[in-house]
Amino acid sequence: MKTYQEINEKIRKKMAVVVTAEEMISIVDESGPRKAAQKIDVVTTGTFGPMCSSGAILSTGHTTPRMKIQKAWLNGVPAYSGIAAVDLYIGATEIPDDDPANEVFPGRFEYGGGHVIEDLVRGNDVVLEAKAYGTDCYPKKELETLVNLKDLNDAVLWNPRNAYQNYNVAVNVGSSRPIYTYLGVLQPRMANANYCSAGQLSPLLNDPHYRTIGIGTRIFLGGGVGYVSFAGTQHDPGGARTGGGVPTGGAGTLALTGDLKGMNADYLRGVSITGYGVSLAVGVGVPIPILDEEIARQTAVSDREIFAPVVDYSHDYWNNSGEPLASVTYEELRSGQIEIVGKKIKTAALSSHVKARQIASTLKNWIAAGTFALGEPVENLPGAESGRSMKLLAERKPCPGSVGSTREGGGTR
Amino acid sequence: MQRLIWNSVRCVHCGACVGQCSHGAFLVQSKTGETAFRANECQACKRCIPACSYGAVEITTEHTVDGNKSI
Repeated sequence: MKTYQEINEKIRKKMAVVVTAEEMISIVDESGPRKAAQKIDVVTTGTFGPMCSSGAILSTGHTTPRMKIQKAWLNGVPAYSGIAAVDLYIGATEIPDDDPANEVFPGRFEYGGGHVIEDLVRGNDVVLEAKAYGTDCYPKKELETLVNLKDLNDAVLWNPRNAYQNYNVAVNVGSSRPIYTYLGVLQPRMANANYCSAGQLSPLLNDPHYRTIGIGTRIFLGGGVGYVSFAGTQHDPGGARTGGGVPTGGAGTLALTGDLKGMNADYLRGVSITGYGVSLAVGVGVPIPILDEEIARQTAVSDREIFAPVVDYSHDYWNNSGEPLASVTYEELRSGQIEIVGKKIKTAALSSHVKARQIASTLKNWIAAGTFALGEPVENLPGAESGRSMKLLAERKPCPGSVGSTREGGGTR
Repeated sequence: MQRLIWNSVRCVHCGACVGQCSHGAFLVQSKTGETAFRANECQACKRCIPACSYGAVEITTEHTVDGNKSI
């Protein structure tokens, strides 16, 4: 057994033994988990792919005269301003008001919130336009100015849901035309299958029961330093798992936060997903302290032990119906071909394994150099034992008298 | 004549193009996992273009010296 304090002391002295999750596989295979736990201090993970539930809080600094921004746009992309006078949230999936979207199908979605964030991180000037109704204390009503990341008072990447523990493999079973999904272009008659996970390098697949990844964990985020700030939205730890504890479907997610000013556009890229929309590809790397033999065993999980469900995106996915068509391993997916009911299907990833390796390797180097200490979680993420599960929305038609409102005297001011 | 251009700087090597390519023009290099483009194999079917979310593949139309499109 080791403690965070012992490992951090070794990191401070540049004596910590750090390996990537891929390197850990052969170490445990050759030495066994017990010896590996004694020898290895930290295992680093990595993932890079489109992560839609991402965005940034920007605090621009006050204008003269002051302005309480009511509506705002960054390079023509709406930013949410219902926070405070000059605090904005630019969401990764927001598109310009005049984007034709899917009116000409499939839409190209050339620019959006994810691209604004990439432009900011690249150091490019961005046009901020804003309107306000004006108040006695904030009289300014219109604003058009260039802003630059270096001049903003605060810029914080604020991602409600990143780093899905596992994910679907998408195919098109029933549509006679290509379908355009957030998992890419799916050709008719299951001609291809797309997936999006770093598999054996992915953070939560290396800590399947969230023993070390929790609120306060210090991480690699977008090329800089960030933190796990909470369980991500749609965190769903209660689904089916293999005998080794690895989820066979979506399961856990992470809410992540970090200073945008320290990040790097190599690991924060705006993406244009044809027929679907825009998003932000995010690079995430999480260090896992090898506190005991069990954690050593879990960080040696390999692609052949991780299964993903194959789901029909021409019907079953959007209709919340049906069962997965098959369960396949990431070893099969990464081979370039899977076989379902006798049909050989070409596979491709939307996430980049090359980038995931770079992230795990960079984080390994930071820790080995003594510049990145581990953050001990102040609270664990909800596990399977929490009973937490994801529900579908039960739609209810509003009718007069059915909606409580603070406007009707029921609330406090 | 239409010709595909692959921008290796913009490419993140996810391999989404590889899944769409029926001609073996895009492939994943087994040693590095990086995406490679073999222009000679490309038939300019353009299926890879909507599959790339990073703007790393584009189509160009080559012109003749007098400005007319070559066929």
